[in-house]
Amino acid sequence: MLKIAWRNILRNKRRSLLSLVLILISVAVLFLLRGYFSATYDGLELMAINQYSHLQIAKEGFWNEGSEERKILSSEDINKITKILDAKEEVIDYTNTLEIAGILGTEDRSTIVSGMGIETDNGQNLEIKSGTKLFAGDETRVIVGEGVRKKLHLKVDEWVSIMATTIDGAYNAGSLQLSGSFSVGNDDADSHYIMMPLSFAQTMLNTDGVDNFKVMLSDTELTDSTIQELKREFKREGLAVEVRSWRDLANFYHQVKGLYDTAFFFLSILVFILIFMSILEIMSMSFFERMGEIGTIRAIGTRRSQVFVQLIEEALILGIIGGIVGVALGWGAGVIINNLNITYTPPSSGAVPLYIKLALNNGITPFFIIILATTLSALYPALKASRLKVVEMLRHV
Amino acid sequence: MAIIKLENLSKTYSSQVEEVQALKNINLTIDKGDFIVVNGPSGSGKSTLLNLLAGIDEASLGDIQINNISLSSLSDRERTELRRNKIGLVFQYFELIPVLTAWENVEYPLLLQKVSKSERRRKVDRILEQVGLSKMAQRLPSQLSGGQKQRVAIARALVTDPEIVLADEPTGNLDTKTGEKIIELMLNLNREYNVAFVIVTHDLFVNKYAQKLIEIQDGILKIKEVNEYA
Ligand SMILES: Nc1ncnc2c1ncn2[C@@H]1O[C@H](COP(=O)(O)OP(=O)(O)OP(=O)(O)O)[C@@H](O)[C@H]1O
Ligand SMILES: [Mg+2]
Repeated sequence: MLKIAWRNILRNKRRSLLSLVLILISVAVLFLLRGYFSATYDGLELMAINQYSHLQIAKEGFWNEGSEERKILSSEDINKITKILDAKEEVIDYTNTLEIAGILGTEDRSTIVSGMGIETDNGQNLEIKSGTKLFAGDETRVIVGEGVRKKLHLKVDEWVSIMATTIDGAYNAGSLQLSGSFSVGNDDADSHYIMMPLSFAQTMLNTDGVDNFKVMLSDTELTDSTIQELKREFKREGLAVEVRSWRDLANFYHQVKGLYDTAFFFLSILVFILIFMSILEIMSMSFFERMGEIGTIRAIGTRRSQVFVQLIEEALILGIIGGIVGVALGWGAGVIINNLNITYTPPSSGAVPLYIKLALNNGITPFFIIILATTLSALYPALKASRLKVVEMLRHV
Repeated sequence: MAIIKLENLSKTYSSQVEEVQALKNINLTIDKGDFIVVNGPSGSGKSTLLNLLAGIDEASLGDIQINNISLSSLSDRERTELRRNKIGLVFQYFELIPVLTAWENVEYPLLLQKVSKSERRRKVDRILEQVGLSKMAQRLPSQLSGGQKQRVAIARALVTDPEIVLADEPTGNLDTKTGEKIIELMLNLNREYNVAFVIVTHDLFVNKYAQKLIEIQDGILKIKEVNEYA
């Protein structure tokens, strides 16, 4: 019986081809879109992990907005946490940071900065624009965002002063020597970020504590399970700390993902409706033309259900072929796009290459959307055709 | 032995405009192996009668019994089953499935009956041979002449060994000579398989083959003559 459905598809080649092309393009477009989105997610994930590490550990309440006092991990906390992290095989690296807000200035210029005390022996995943990054052993050197450097007209090795308030609220000031400038790929951030040795930041804030631990794992997949384990162990040690994953911390990741997911959802619905309406039209026409034929096969003993199945099969075959070839087509188009090295420039950022992630995974949703759309669109005409009275269909000839 | 009995059968078509009484109080018995020819002017109710016999239309009044089972008591599905297994249909416009070859068209009812592949092959080959179309088996209907198409249709109607074949103007679209051959073919098959035939026709030459000749006029059925064959 599948044979009949198949031959009926071949019978009106132009119509079937039209349906097929429609399905094909839709699947390919959805596939490409998904490929682009998931490449973007991957990029964002990398960026988020770069910025936040896989997970962060901080004093309980650290991330609560509007909390009055500064929540800092004490040196006692630091020792305990260090011991636990050192025992974990999947933890490949960790580092401490301490945030410091203040004013950076020269004799005739100043600007508000948001500084970060970092362990200088740790890789600074930044694009260095001038000078050098910070090195182990640096104590009074600083690197600043390219925007900050420009605003203050700083030159490498020039001394700048920094003013901040200590944890207890006292005024404090110090001097730093410019080591270099960097960019994080975002103009806004580059115009107020600076980085200095952790020890300097601690002195400025008059503390021996840190804000947090930034922890890198051997595999991103291990993030959630490691967090669970750490939480248990911290609790056993009586540590009042919180653990957050890069996913919790990276707001931009969720914003973009949410936006893209919504966009994809609506586009999918659009494509679904488009395919549904066109196939409905095409199938109705095709079934209507074959009314007499359907009447005949009913008259010689084909059950309603068998007629129904046969007509649905036609749509299903089209959907499956269109789905598979569509994904293949999308894949081919993706390869071409990736090889063209197209770049685009989003606002307040550098050029980004347009990259399509090619994964069979990204074809699954488009494939099923299309199968669903074609099958559902054939449902009503098929049901109608199988329900009609045999005599009436025969008279239709 | 009666295989079909019509009792006080009436059929009225009602539309908004008017009511047409297509069949009026018809009584008829069809026996096993009958060769019945139905005459009558256009619009007299011949097709209506065949449709009722085939169970693809419903009577307004009266009853049709096939093997002592009342058609009106059957569900749509059961009537479909009945057509599949007990009735063969031949149409004026052949009504072959255009995407299937002659061979596959004849095979189709056997597929519905879920007959095994080897059995299907045996039956289809045999009946195509009998209607003289073995050589055309792989052709599509569009590659066959009218007479050849009707032979395929007859083969399709008979391949399931039905008890009765209903043919509505099977020669209506054929020239007289081809028509005559088709009727002769039906007569031969009627004798060989002892299958009852009911043939509706305008062609008067068919009448000479009739075992029972029936005329319908304005929905009223008259049995004109009954010939006994040896
Ligand atoms: N669906 C219908 N609705 C209304 N009237 C119908 C319908 N089908 C048939 N009729 C009417 O019933 C009468 C009998 O029709 P039927 O088709 O049985 O005639 P027929 O003897 O087969 O004619 P022909 O030789 O032209 O095929 C006609 O008057 C016809 O107009
Ligand atoms: Mg008629």
